[in-house]
Amino acid sequence: MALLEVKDLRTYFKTQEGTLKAVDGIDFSLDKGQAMGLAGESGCGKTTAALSIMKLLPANGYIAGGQINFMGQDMARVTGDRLRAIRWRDISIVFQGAMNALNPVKRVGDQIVEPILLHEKIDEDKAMRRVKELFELVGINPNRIREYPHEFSGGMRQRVMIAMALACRPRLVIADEPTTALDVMIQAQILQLLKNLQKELELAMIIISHDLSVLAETCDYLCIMYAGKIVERSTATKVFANGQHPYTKGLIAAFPNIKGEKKMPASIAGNPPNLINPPVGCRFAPRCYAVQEKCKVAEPPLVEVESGHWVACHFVGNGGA
Amino acid sequence: MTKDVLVVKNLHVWFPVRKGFVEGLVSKEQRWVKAVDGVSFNIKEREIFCLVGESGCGKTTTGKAILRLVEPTGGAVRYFGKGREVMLKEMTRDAVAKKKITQAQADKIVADGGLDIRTLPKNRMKLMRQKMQIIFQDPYESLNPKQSIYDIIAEPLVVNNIGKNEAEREKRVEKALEDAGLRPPKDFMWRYPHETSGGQRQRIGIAGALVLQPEFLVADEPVSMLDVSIRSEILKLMLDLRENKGLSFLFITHDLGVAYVFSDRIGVMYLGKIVELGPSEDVVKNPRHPYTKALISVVPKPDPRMKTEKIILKGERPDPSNIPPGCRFHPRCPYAMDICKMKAPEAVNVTPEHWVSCHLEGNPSAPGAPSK
Repeated sequence: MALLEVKDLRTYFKTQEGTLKAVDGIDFSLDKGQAMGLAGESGCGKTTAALSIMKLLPANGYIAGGQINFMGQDMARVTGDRLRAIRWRDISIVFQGAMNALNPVKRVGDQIVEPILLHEKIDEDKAMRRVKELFELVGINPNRIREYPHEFSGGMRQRVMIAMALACRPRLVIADEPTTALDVMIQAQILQLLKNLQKELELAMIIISHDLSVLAETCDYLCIMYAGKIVERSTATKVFANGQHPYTKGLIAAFPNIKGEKKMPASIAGNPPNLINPPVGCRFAPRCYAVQEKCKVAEPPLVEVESGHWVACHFVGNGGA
Repeated sequence: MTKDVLVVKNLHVWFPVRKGFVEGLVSKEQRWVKAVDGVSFNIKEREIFCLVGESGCGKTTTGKAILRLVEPTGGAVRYFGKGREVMLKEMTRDAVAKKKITQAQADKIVADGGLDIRTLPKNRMKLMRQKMQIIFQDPYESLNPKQSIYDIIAEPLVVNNIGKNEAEREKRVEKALEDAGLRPPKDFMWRYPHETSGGQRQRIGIAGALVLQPEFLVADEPVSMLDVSIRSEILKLMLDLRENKGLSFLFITHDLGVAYVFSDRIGVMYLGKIVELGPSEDVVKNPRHPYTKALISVVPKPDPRMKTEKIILKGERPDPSNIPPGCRFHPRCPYAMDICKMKAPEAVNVTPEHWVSCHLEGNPSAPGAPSK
């Protein structure tokens, strides 16, 4: 059985203008030790999907439907103490902009020890020893546990955040834009660290990024999201080798290729749609280069075009006209 | 051969380190953070010159020092754009009137001399900045949320006293918005920044720089905060501006991939110095400095099938207040030799346009020497 199974998840926000359908029916599953990437532009709902799994939605957000089966229970319905027992113990998250996610007036060691003491019945000395092990694991000198966040550089703070996410030996770690604010060199260090940790600890991981190249380096499996829906889902190799959805193709083409010849990458014109009143039919239609009449009327379902490769477009696979 | 617009010679920006009370008693020596420590390059007319490096290498400080948004502490920045002629004439006329120089000398200065930005008095620098503008990195932070887009873009006009009345200013703002690709401008002018998307915000930043009709732009990481899918639109906009308005750019980025496709020449900066400089194609396809090689190897490839050997440097941002002796890169260099710890390498030309400062260059016996 899969470790995490998300079925038809819908997460909406109540706003003054109406209900914003940030995540509107997505499915995916994740096995133990597997790394999945969630890709898409800002505002496509990828972070909201992750926060739904953690049940960390802001006050005006709610799960409107669907299931999140995690280790035999439906996270969409778990609340109170039971939720608190799962959160951070079994699922943890490395937040976006980790540079600012640490408490500046608390020593980093104390911040990491907190969830360990909360979730496990062990004394503080033992917990501190665990923190030292964690520091070694993520490549920080264990003698630095008594330092404050400002004494760490950006890349090191990101490592502290990763150590914190691993504190209770979770099964699933969600990394939300883990390298976006970092330099290329530090980005390479962090990505290598995530990959090693995932192998060593058999972690399941969801990595969220707008940068497909980051996901190409770390993930086995990829979901491309657009306007609250998954438009393509397959193994990373297949998505890159044989991306079928026009949006996927556009995203891949948007990368400057340093190995290839010197030419400007293509861009996807236009903006993502307003999710309070999404367009009828295919949501990508207004920006699609291959748009036809049909796309403006009917919404394409996510269909399996080959084994394990799902695409939501009228003009690929069986859905073809 | 095209003319230079800007020549930067041996630029230094050093910041003094404030000492604590006790340290002040113990040592008299003033320590410095050497953010920019002897940078020289030139930017030709209609050229996009790119500075690449990790954060903290001094690339942004270089850009700001050129516009004197931070005061350089040494070196020269000479400007050869069209705007300088008027100003030089004016300045020499003043000098001739005060009988400091003769008319013949004045003419000679106007004819061949660039304008040294560093020595300009404040009021003239303000005029000069109309010709030299900057686009900032983060369009989410650099726009005042309480000002309408019109107010944001018209502010430079107000500050510089351009435009006789509101109607004339409005016309110029409209033109700038249109040049920045925000069409139709009337739709955007009375909005507030929060009513626009990330890409549009960056275009507003560009319009703000364009409204004064500059000749030279410093673009400080203009796309690093944007989604990959809209990055190339902003880059293309800048290419259009060069094409149609003859703008020259100093483009600052940490992403060699973007630098490669977008710029004409690349200078790779490390710890306050340029270590390699040459045409983009040469630098990326035939890198000579170990640091350049490492930077190229870590650019993520958008394809899981392209697994390449990565040179991941240990550690991170070195400390510019405590620069290592000899070659500054030697503590992180995989090929460091004894000489690197003692002597700073000189610039060696690979081709007339491409130079590198590394002891490995021209030293075939060294381990890891680049093969010819």
